[in-house]
Amino acid sequence: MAQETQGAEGTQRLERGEHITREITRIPQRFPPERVWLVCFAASLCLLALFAVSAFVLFRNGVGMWGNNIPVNWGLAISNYIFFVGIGHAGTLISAMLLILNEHWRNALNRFAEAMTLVAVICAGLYPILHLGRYWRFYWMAPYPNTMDLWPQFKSPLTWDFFAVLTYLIVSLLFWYIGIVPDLATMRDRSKKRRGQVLYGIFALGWRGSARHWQRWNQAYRVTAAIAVPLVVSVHSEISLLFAAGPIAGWTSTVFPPYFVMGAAFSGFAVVSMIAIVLRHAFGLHDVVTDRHLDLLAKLLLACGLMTSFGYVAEAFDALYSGEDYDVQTLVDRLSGQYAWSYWGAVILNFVPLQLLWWKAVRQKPVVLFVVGGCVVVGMWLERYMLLVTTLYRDYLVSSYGEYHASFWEWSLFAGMLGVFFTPFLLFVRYLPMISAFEIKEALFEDRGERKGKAGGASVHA
Amino acid sequence: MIAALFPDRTAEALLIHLSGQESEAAAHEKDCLAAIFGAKLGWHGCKDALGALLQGNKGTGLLAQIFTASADTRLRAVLFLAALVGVFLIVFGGGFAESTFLTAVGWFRDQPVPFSHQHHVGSLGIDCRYCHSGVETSDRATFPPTHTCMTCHSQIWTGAPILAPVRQSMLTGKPIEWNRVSAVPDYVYFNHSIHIDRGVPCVTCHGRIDQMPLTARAKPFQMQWCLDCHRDPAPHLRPPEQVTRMDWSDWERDPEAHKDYGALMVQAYGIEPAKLIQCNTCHR
Repeated sequence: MAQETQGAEGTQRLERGEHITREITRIPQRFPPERVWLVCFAASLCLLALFAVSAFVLFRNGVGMWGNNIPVNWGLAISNYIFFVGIGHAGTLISAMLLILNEHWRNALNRFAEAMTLVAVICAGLYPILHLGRYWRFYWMAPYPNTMDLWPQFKSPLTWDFFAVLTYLIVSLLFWYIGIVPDLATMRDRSKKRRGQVLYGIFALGWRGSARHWQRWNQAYRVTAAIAVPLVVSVHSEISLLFAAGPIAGWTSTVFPPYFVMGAAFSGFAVVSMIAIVLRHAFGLHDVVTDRHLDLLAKLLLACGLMTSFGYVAEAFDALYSGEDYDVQTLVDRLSGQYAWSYWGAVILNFVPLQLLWWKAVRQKPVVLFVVGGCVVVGMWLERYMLLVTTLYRDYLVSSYGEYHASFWEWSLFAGMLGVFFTPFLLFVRYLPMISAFEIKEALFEDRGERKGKAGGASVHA
Repeated sequence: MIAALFPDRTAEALLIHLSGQESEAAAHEKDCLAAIFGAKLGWHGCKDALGALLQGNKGTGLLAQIFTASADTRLRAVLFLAALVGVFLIVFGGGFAESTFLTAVGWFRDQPVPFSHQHHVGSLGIDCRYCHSGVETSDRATFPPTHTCMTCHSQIWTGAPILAPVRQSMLTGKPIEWNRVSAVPDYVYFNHSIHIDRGVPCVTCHGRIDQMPLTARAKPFQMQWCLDCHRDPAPHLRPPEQVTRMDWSDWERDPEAHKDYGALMVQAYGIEPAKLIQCNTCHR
């Protein structure tokens, strides 16, 4: 009797699983909003062309094309670099941290969040090279035996930065690719065209879904996740040390590493929420990315936002408590100086609309969440700009006070960088399963209390 | 199909058992499945078939339709080759960076006049400073003006066709355009006078110039080569009054006799090796 019910339920679940696979893998095959996608892709290709032009002009003429100079020697390039690395963090957090915590709801979000991380890290990685001036010497950051007997300065956070971002890129890529292999196999098997079969087939690496495959996959995926989790904390902590390791008033607060990490996760969750809302709307994925997912994302956004606001308070407190003239002066400059708009813009956009998310009804309204996410993205961008410019434009010496105004080519490079971000992401949405079908199915079984056998074998459900 | 064969179990539960859990029930199911499929597919094929079935493939032959049997081997071969090319590039790059093709060690340069240091220094015994007169007082050793050549060649070999460019230069007042053999990049501030003054012999950097019929670079002039000496200058120091001496074999033959000279001179001159390897010693 009990066995029969179980059998019927099992069949039901298999059918539901089959439905989800069809729903997700159908998207790359018969892409429903083809025209919208083409318009978006054309726009992002234009931005990519703008990037190419801006980079060419920069390489031809040098960083003198930009507005940064002593005392503000880090301009948009570095603030955007931090911005892009930051939004990547949510992807790693959702995919690796929540995988290890066994939070099943991540499965609806992790694939595109990881893809977002990957393109964000690529954008971020380009900025320091563009900023270098002698960009053709960028590989000097790497420790390799050379005829100059020169090694990078291992005591410098800039060297740590090189390792942090490179590690982050490699681990993110590996994690994303390992995760997508079983779905690539499904795509291969469902492709009607020879080209699709071969291309998906090559990258599926001969996946046949045998028990042995699943066991190996599980090991690889979880080990990579375990490697990725510390990166969530380490990469942005290290980036905060780019600031905190120098003797600049306004960058010396001990709250910097956690402040940066939380800020990164905050901006990242905002971007993930926005992407989730857009994809869900565009492809009608309401039964996969449910209201509950938006609710959870909004909660995370709220939590990270509140922790980031603590960073703001702690930073101001540090300056006042230290009583150092230069620290206090920097704080006053931030609150009321020439660039006060960036400080108050960050505070208001980051934390005022955020308060709406205390209410569940608001959290589940996609439009509101999208707007709040947008505010946070702009606010966090302003925060990075504020941290750089308000600190540097008034140096220790009055004689070296200066102003910073980003030049046209800095803005055009930033706009172009959005093209670098969106072009691969749109290709990903168009040609790859953007949601992890088999992991959703796995969660479907596990969530209903089906935990027979050992946990490691549970993912054979796909 | 699986459900039909085993109505009381879901297929995935079966697979969990098959994936390696050793139990009596699992062993039994394994036997059952092997009995059904085994004869045709073998045990691994049977598991793969089941996996493929669960993943939603209708049938098990899909892989075979897309790729030939050797596809896997070929993919592995391509990956292996790519790795091999990577290793080759690293090894080649390392060798290339050290090669005389880049450093120009031992490569004779064409000159407007085939001047022989072997003849002038080795056979005639002219001191280096007779021609390179700036070496003791300036950063450059300096090329000799044509007048220096003419101190002798206005008297001997006055009609030699090989010396025509020298006479031409004398007539027109236009210096001979020698091609530089030993050069450091323009971002390196090298000063000859201090090296001569502290007793780094010419031969240390320029080699046995007295044995070169045409002049070639003797040392690689790479930063690592500069640093070799700057890190530990003591063994390279000689009495400054003999700085142009070419043959130091007797000095080197008897290291015991001179073992204290370098260290003492480093002390006497106040040379601090830690300062010699700071960036701004050479890059200002």
